[in-house]
Amino acid sequence: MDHQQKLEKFERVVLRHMDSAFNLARWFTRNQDDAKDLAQEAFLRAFKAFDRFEGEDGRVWLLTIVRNLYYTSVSHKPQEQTEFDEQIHSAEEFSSSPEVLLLRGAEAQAVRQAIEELPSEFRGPLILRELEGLSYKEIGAIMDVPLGTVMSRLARARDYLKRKLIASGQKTGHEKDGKNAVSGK
Amino acid sequence: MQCQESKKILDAYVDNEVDVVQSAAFEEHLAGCPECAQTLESRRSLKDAMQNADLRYAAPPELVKSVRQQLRLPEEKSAVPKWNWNWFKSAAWGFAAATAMFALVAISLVWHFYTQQDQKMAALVVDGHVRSMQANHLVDVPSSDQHTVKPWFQGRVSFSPKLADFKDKGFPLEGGRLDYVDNKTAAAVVYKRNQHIINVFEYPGSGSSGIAEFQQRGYNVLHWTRDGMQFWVVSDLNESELRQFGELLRE
Repeated sequence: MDHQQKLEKFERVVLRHMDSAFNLARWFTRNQDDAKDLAQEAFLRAFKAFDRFEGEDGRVWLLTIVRNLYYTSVSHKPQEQTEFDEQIHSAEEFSSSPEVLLLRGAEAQAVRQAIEELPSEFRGPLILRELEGLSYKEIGAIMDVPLGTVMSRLARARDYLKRKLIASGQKTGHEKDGKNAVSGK
Repeated sequence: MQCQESKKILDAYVDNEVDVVQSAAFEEHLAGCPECAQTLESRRSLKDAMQNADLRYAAPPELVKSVRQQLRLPEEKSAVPKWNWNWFKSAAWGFAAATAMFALVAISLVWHFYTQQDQKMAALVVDGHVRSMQANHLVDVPSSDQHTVKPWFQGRVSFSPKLADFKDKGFPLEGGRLDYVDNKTAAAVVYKRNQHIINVFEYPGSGSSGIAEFQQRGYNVLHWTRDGMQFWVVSDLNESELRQFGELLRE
């Protein structure tokens, strides 16, 4: 494979997943500039290693490089403790609004913020599942964890999001009620 | 299936990651467990909330550009308008060039055709000129009087040839005769310049043109079209004097 052929194949198999790579990098780093650097570095690494690439799914291969780069960089050491505050105080049991309605009415900014609060080990699988539509097997390959871990991390991440969004939904709901009460005077 | 087990595969179920057997067992449990059904409903609502929040980030253009630059790849082909426009421009130029080329070829062909025609006619009138002197048949009506020569042609040709005595200009009228040019009946009017004979062939023809000059076998030939008549002037006289005569006759 000469250089020109390599470029053409790389463009066809890997480069077209630019959005996927940037999206994952953006959710990992939670920062536009860092995400650009991470994604760019991933593409250069991918190109260097492209001779060893086998198979057709350039996306999983590329996203694996993004994930590896993120965790090998000094500032994002993989966190050994994957615990996070899963005991959010919500007034769930006292709420008159069904949680389903609160979740459906969640504002984009609240959803975004709640995901960013998740540890990257939980954020990664959630993003890959919900925004990239990847299978558990593919997510396991990218995150370098077994299938069962993918499933349990997704479950815990969603449990967290659910409580968080219900809590913030109740909060904004109460604020609205308060404003209405003031304007009603 | 118990609630504990059901909660374990809940996420795999909403993500379509369970097999048919598990799926059937899970649904069976749901039918009799409002709590798990409620949990499933909230999971689906959460997924909807994520989908509706438009969370996916697209690669910024500067990233696309810098990656392509670092890999020394050309600008993305999706820069459609510019590329299209260039293509259109080059196509237009190509079309214009082809049209110009075609026009040039057509013009030169037509030009070549006419030039050939004129050269052919010039050759014919030179033949007539030579013949008129060989057969001692220069004139049918020998006269230097235009009022004799001109009426002579009446009834012999269907037109009235243009002729005049230019004796005072050094081109005396010698007479006239009937001749044929290109199978057409022509009036041949003869003039003299010193010892040089000038034959003027006149016959009807359409169009209007200036004087064209030809050389054929050492003879000088002039041709023009005016007032529905073709004029061919042939002589062994030099070019400039013949042209001078031509100008006189055209007046």
